[in-house]
Amino acid sequence: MGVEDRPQPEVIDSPDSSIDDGQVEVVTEQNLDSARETMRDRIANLYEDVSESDHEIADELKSELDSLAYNLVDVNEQELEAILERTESALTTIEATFQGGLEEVLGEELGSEEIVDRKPLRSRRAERVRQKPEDPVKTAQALQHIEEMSGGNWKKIDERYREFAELLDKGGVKLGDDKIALAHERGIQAARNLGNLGDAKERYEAAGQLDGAEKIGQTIGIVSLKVSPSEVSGEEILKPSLMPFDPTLRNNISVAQAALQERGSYQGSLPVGTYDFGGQTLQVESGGEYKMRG
Amino acid sequence: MSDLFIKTIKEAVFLKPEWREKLLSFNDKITPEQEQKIIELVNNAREQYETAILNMNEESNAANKKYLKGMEDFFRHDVPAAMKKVEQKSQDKEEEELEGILTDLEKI
Repeated sequence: MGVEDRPQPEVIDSPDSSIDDGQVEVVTEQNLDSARETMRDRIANLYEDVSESDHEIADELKSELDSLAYNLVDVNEQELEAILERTESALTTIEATFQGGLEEVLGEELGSEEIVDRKPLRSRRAERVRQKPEDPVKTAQALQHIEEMSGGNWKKIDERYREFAELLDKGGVKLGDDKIALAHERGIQAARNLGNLGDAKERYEAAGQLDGAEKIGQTIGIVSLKVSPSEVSGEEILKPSLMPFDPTLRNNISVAQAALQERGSYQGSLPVGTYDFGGQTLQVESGGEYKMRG
Repeated sequence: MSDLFIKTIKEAVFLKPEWREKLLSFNDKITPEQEQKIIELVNNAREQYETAILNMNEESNAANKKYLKGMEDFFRHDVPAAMKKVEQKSQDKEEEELEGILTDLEKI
């Protein structure tokens, strides 16, 4: 087959004729979706055309074009991630300044809750993750993590779930709903068995099981506790006035006690109830957030 | 609690709803001076928040435009260049095969 017989590449102005640098004010997600689809289609068409006459050459051409296309996506991904990180950091600074000012005016500490609404940031991040094309390596890794979430070693399952969730958050992982549901289910079981009810609640939310999340949310509050090293002794620094009957809740208290003994701090969930925390009374209410130094 | 304070807090949608409620619940606990200071804090924070979100949108838009431009270049330059490269390889391969046939023929 001579050069003149080969299919010639079609030169197009742009994936979307309305897209011209300097003329378009807003690049919509539809623009990007359609551009990506056009790129994928064109590569596939070229491959098919060339492949009719020479498979080897077609494979080489596809591999070269795929690599260029992935590179384009990668650069865009990195830029968008950097923008999100900068915005997150700016919002954190705004929040800290606002809270500091408010505490000064009111003369009291206001806890560690999130003040500023981060919905615009989250929706942009979610959109970015949704758009990310599949990365077969990441999908394979995610599947591997799911397979390793079997058995009864909750610590190991918890670690695998965290790795799985991190991959899922970054995008590029394409799995069936059944696999994702199984992973969340195992992650929830692990968090419950390890006494990390705050994590369990988040995992219920990630799984879309809002009833489960709400149910757990009603039984816990979120605390940030700190004790000075001199306060940590053989005695329990955190004592519930009444130990709950539910083993999962008891486990949660044990985890908090162990963390305070070992590290002098604990940040996470604590069952609703009254506690003696280094001689002070800590009243944990459902959905409440508390910051206390013992 | 002044109307201005209530209006400022209600319109401060950049704050999470529970925080807006919390600020409104201060009700009679704060003095007019404290109210004024909180209004200033809210207005400053809102201005900074809006700037941060605007910057994020503008920067994301610029990055996406750059990406689309990259795609355009991909079709205008990269695809033809890749095609040319594989064409050349194919041609070389054909010439090599032809050369081999000629050499074999010469041997006969």
